Amino acid sequence: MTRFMFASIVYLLVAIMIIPPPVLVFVMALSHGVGTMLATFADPDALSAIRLTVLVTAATVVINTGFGVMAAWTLSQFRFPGRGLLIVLVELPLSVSPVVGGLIWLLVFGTQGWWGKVLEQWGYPIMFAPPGMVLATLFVTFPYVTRTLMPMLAHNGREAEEAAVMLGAGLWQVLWHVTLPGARLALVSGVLLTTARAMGEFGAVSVVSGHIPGLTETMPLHIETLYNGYQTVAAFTMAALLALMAITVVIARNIVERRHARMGIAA
Amino acid sequence: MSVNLDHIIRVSPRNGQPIVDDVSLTVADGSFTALVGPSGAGKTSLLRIIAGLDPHQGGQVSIDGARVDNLAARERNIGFVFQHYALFAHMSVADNIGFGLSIRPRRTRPTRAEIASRVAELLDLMQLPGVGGRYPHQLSGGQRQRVALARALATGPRLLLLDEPFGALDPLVRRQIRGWLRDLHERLGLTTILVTHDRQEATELADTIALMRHGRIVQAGTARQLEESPASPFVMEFTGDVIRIPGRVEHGLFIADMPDIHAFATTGADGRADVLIRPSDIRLLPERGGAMAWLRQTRGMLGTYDFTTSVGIQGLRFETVVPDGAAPIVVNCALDISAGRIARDDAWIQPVAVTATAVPALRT
Amino acid sequence: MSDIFSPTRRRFFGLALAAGAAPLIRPRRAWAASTLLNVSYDPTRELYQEIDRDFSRAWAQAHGGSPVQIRTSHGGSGAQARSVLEGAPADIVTLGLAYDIDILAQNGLLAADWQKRLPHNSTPFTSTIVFLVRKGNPKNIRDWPDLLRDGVQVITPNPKTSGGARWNYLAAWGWALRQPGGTPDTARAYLKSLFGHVPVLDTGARGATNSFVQRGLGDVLLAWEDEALLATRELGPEQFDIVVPPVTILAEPPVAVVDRNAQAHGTTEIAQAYVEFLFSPVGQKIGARHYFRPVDPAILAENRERFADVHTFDIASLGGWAKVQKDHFADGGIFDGIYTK
Repeated sequence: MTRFMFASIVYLLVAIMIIPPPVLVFVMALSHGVGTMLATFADPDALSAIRLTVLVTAATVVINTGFGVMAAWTLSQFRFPGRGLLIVLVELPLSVSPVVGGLIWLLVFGTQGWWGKVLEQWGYPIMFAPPGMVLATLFVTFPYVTRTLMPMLAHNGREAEEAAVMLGAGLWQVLWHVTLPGARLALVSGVLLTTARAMGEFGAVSVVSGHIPGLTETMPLHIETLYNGYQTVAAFTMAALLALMAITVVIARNIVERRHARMGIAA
Repeated sequence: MSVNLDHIIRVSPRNGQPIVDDVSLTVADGSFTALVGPSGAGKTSLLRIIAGLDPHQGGQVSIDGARVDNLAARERNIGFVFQHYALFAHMSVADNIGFGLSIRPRRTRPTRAEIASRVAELLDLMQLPGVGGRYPHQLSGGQRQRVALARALATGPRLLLLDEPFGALDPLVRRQIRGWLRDLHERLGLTTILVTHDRQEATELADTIALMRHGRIVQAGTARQLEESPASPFVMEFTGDVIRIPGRVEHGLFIADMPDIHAFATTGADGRADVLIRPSDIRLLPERGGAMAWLRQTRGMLGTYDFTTSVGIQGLRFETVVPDGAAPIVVNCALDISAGRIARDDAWIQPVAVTATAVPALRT
Repeated sequence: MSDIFSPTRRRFFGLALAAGAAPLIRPRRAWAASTLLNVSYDPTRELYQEIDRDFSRAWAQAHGGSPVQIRTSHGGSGAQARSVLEGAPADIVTLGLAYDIDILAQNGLLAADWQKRLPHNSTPFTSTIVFLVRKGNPKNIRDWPDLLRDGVQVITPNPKTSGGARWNYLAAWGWALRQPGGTPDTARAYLKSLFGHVPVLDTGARGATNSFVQRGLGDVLLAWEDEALLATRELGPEQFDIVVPPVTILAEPPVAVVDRNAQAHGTTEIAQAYVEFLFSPVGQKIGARHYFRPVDPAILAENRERFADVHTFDIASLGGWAKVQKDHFADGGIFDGIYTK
């Protein structure tokens, strides 16, 4: 009885909190017909926002996967002074507001910031340009790969790594042939989480973007611009596309994790 | 390849307690040596020190007379089989076995064909034909263990280390693999060191047993040496069934606390002492005391007795030779335990039995 | 054997890297001479969309080249100024109030006398602050005191971040001062009471308009005249009415070329042409079409019927932006006193 009661409470909560927003987004996108919805994609600024989102996400995922693997491996493999502090710091972006994440970069690379004058002379834009947006997204998504990978490396990998060492493998061979493939499902899961977060990031990116349509607007920023410009259908169409992308990633991640659980039991 | 351990010391990085405490041991070329002892005795640590997986703070490890302390684990060319197999779950069986060869530098790496034929050869040797394409999680425990062994042998190691390799197997499979492993050892002649907490396993497999406790080797020798001349009460208790009978030494006699046990002469100093005796060495003496012995069951010449004293009603159960023509219930009897060894505080005060009444032929 | 380094994987990795690096390389070219960035404030989206298009076409005709590409960024005036200060590569700023451009001048991004470089204090269009109410004016709001009636909810953005909000605030302040017996103290009391009727503080004028128009919050929106007219037109006149209070402020949103950026981008000439275009008859007419009051008297006369007659006072009558900013909107200023308690 209790079981059903709690289950129905959870169902109710999901029905109220989780289901309606995406449904409404799609309803709003289609409110003036499919033609109007598709017209959104004729706007070069919309296409540019989609392209920039894909590029920022791709760059973020590639860089943070590298960083994350390195950090997770270092933190699980070695014991050194300050390791505990480092683990806390890696998780910091999870608790810090994304806006702060953006402001940090502004403080460092803005023209009023520490490196501002140097960068200005170099003539290469970082803030209010895609590199800055990548930096801001990097900060926000930094913990995901590390956090999903670390427990896997710490618990499952040890004996297999030692076995590889006894068979003559060096540090890099162990990492590439044993550690990473052994944790590949966790890695994929972390990468997908990073992808989902990077695609949807608004706060941090907003601070360093400058909101220049066609140049520095990602999809979430462009959605805001469209909405504020009374282009409701276009705004919700972009939102629907973004939601669709996110849902795809979440489903992919779920499939990976389910496979993960199965292999975990078997092996 | 012979292995020589010379005063090895390893302390715990956590609390500074010794894990391996001044261990010296020589493992002869081609021998099968078992490190035996209760859990926490330092067996696995010693094995990992030999492998180079754990550092040691004192002493020297030599293989074939050459020090290897400064060689990294991967450079020692030692095969190691882990307790939980440690197979690479994402690789096929064939890839697991071929791993050690495939990661060699290009100069010394065999061709793909050579690796494949080596893998096939090992799968045959392990009696695992046709599983090369499968993945570890598709194999049974015994099969996985043999794959792990094949993987360890693939690179042609000079020494094979086995860390509790049968711990995770069910008893039936364990017994099968044991016999098979012994055969394999005899065929390959590869110097092998096995860690186990199972005395029977060690006895069955190894020609030399090193019994460890508290980070030290208490006694090393053949199984028979350990059983017949245990260096300490611990060794005696570890190597077979032992009945411990408390008592005292007084005026050159051992007197048991229990009544109806015959005192016997000893050279040990006066004070509290225990007699440790294999049950089969106990003699039942009819009509020599006030106790009762009840024969519960027989097995050939041996019988299991429940022995109850007349005063204070204390009991013992032991298995020994049934005296000729004895009734199932022997009344007014006593026990002769003079074939036992006398111990005080975990050391012998008289390590050899006074009366040599042992009948080794009847022991199993 | 273990094929972790199979060629396909390596190729994929290379592609991903290249894809990641691509946007890092492009922006430099994007600031070639044929591209302009206009960093503007919130309610000018529709205005500059048309201006950009027409200017681009006119420039191409006059110079026989390809049309210039103009991008315009919108946001709260203060926030936009901040972005430019931190390095947003604006060639032109068209902000909600002169003070925001003064800050850029103080930091050397353009000359201190920037406001004298163009006619009418560099203000191509003026506007004013009006009340947008629900259709039929159910709460019967006619003048500033009506905003304080019980049950009236007022929507206005945060003056700390929004230029429009400062105009709203100062319109109320100036009106209160001009009442019989009006003093800074009575004005302060009026504003304190007014902000007691404000349920949400958006960061920009467009956000506030959205709150009122799309989310249905509040009974009256204090808005730019152009924003109010746009809202009634875009969302149907049957939903809203505009109430012009008898006395209100003359809002003067100025424009300027950001000298240092334009020089760096090599766009000084075209940027100058762009701001001058705003004062041209064509530019003035576009402004009028989007409900910005043209400063050109002739064009204003042509559009007489679009704009209600209104009595206005200007910012100079309140002491100018520097003083107003210091007294009212700096930390610990009058606004902080009003809103925190």
